[in-house]
Amino acid sequence: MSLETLIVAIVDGIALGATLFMISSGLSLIFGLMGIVNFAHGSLFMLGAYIGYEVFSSTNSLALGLAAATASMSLLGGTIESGLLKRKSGDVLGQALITIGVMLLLDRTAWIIWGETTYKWVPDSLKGVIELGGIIFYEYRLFLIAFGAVIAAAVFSFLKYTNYGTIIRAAIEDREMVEALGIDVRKTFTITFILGSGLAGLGGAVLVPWLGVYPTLGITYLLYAFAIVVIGGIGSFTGTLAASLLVGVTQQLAAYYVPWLAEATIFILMLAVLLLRPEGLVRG
Amino acid sequence: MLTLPAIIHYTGFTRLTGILTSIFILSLYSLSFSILLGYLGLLNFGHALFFGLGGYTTAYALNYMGAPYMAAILASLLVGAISGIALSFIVRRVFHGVPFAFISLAVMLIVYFLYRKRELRLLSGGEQGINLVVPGSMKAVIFSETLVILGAFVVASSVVRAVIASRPLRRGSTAFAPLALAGVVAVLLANSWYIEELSLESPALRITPNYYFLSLNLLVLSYLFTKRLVESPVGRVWLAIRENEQRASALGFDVFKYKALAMAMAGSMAALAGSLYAPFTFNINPDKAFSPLVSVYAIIYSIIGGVWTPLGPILGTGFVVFLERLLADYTGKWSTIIVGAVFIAVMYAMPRGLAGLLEKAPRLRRGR
Repeated sequence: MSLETLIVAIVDGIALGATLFMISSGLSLIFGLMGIVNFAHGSLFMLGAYIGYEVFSSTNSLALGLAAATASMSLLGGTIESGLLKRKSGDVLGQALITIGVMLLLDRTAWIIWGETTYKWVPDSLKGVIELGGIIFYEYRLFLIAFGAVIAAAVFSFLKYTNYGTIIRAAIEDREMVEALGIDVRKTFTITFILGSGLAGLGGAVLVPWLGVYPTLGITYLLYAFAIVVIGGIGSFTGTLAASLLVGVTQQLAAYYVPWLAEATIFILMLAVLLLRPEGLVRG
Repeated sequence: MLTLPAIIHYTGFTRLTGILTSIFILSLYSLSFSILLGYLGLLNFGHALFFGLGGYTTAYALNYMGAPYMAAILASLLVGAISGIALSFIVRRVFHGVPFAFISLAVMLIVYFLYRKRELRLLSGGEQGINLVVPGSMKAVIFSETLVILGAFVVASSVVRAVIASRPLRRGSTAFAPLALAGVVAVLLANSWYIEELSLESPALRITPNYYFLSLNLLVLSYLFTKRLVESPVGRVWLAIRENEQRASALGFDVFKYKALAMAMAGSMAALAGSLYAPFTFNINPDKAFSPLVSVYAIIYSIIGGVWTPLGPILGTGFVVFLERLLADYTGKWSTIIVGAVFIAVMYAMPRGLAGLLEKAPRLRRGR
C-alpha cells in the first residue's frame, strides 16, 4: 500500500469521475427540470459507446467516433422525448415507466447486434504511458481528465451564459415562477434531452479506450449515475460535478484496497446521503 | 386449473406445466409489488431484495441446515416480513415517492454487489450461486402447508387487528380464515391424488407437478388474502394514504404503521415467491435474486396487468411470461424486445392495464 498506489488510484478515480460526470449531468438536468427518472439514460451511454467503437475502429479516429456517438445519441434522445415522453407530459410516473420500456428495448437490441463480447479500441497517439517521479500514468486516463474538464466547462458555460441555460436553471429552481414570467418551460425539455443524451453518448464513447464496451455497461453506469445525482443534489451542476469525482475516486480507492466493497461503497454513500441529507450535498 | 397437469401429462405437453408454474410463482412476486404501488403509491425499485432474500433463505435452510422445505418457506416468510419492516424503519423520514424508491434501490444494490463478489462466495455462492438440494417428498410439504397457511393467517390477522385497534375503525372484518381453510382443504384433497398418480407414472416428472400445485395453492391463498385485505378497512386506509397522506394522518391514522404493515406483507409475499422459485429452478444466484432486472420485471408484470386490483399483476405476469416463452420459440432473441414494445404500448393505450379491460377497478372518489 505504497504512496504510488494511492496516487495512481486517485488519478484513475478522477478519470472515471470525468466520464461519470458526462452521463450524470444530463440525467440530473432531466430529473431536476422534468422530474423524470430517466432509465433509458444508461442505454444511451452504452449505445454511444458501441457507435463510438464502430466509428473508431473503421476510421481510426478518436474525434470522429466521439462526434458520431454524441450526434447519434442526441438525435435518439430528442426522438424519445418528442416522440414518446411528450405525449405523457404531466404524468411523471408514467414517463419514468416508459423509459424503463425504452431501456429494455435499447439494451436488448444492442445485445442482439453486438453480443456478449467486450469491444475495446485505443487510439495510437494515446497508447503510451508517462512516467512522473517514478510513478507510471496511462496517457489515455490523463487525457480523460483533461477532456472531462473541457466538457464540464462547456456545460457550465451553456447553463450560465446562454438563454436556454438560464431558463433551465431557473426552472429547476422554481418552475412556476418561470412560467409566470411568460416563458414556456416545456420548450426547454427537448433541448435538455438532446443535450443530456448527447453527453451520455459522448461519455460512453470516451470510455471505450479505457474500459471497453460490453452488454451490462448501460445498466451499471445508469446505477452509478443515479447514485451521483442523488449524492450531488438533483439538478445541481456543482453537486453533480463534485459527486462524480467523489464517486469515481471512492470507487477506484475501494477497488485498490478493498476490492469486495468496490461497487457497494458507492451505494452505501448514496444510502447515507439519502438518509442524512436527502436534498443532496448541494441544493439544486 | 387442477386437472390441467394431468391432461398435459397424458397429452405430452409437459413444458406447459413448467411455464404455468413459473407464472404462479412470479405472480406472487408481482402481486406483492403492486400492493405497494397500487394501494400505497410506493414505487419500490428495490423489490427484488425481498425476492432474493426469500430465495437465499431457502437455500441456506435446505443446504446448510438440512431443514424440511416447509420450515424453509416459513423462515423465508419471516425474513421477508422482517426485512420489509426494517426497510420501513430505514426510510421512516422520507417514506414516499422518489426518496423511497431510491433508498430501497440503494439497499438492494448494496446487497447485490456484495453477493456478486468472489470474496463472499461462502455466503452467496459467488456469481454461480448456490445449487439447491431439492426437497424430497413434496406430498408432506403440501399437507403441512395447511397448518402453515393457517398459522400465517392467524399471525397476519392479529397484526392487522393490532393496527386497526389503535384506530377509530371498529369492525375490522379480517376473519377470512374459514374461507381460506375451505379452499385449502378442497385443493389439497385434489392435489394429493394427482401427485400420487403422477409420481407413480414417471418419477422424473415429480418435481414440476409438485411445484405446480404448491405454487398454485399459495397463489390462490395469497390472492384471496390480498383481495380480502384491500377491501377491508386497512385497504381503505391505504387508499386514503395514497390519495392524501396529510389528510389520512390528520384523521388520526398512524400512516407509518399502515405503510410498514404493507411493507411487511409485500416483503413476505415476495420472499415466498423467492423461496418457491429457487428450488424450482434448482439454483439461486445474485443475478436471479437481487439484480435490478428482477425489480424491473416486477414493474413490467404489474403495469401491463394493472396495479389497482389484485387480479391485475396475475394477469400481467401470465401474459408476459406466456408471450416471452412462446415468442422465444418463433422469434428467438427478439422476444424481450416485443415485451418492451408491448409494455410501452400498454402505457399509452391501457393505462389501467389488462385488468382495466375486465372490470371497473374500485376507485376511490377523488375529492379535493
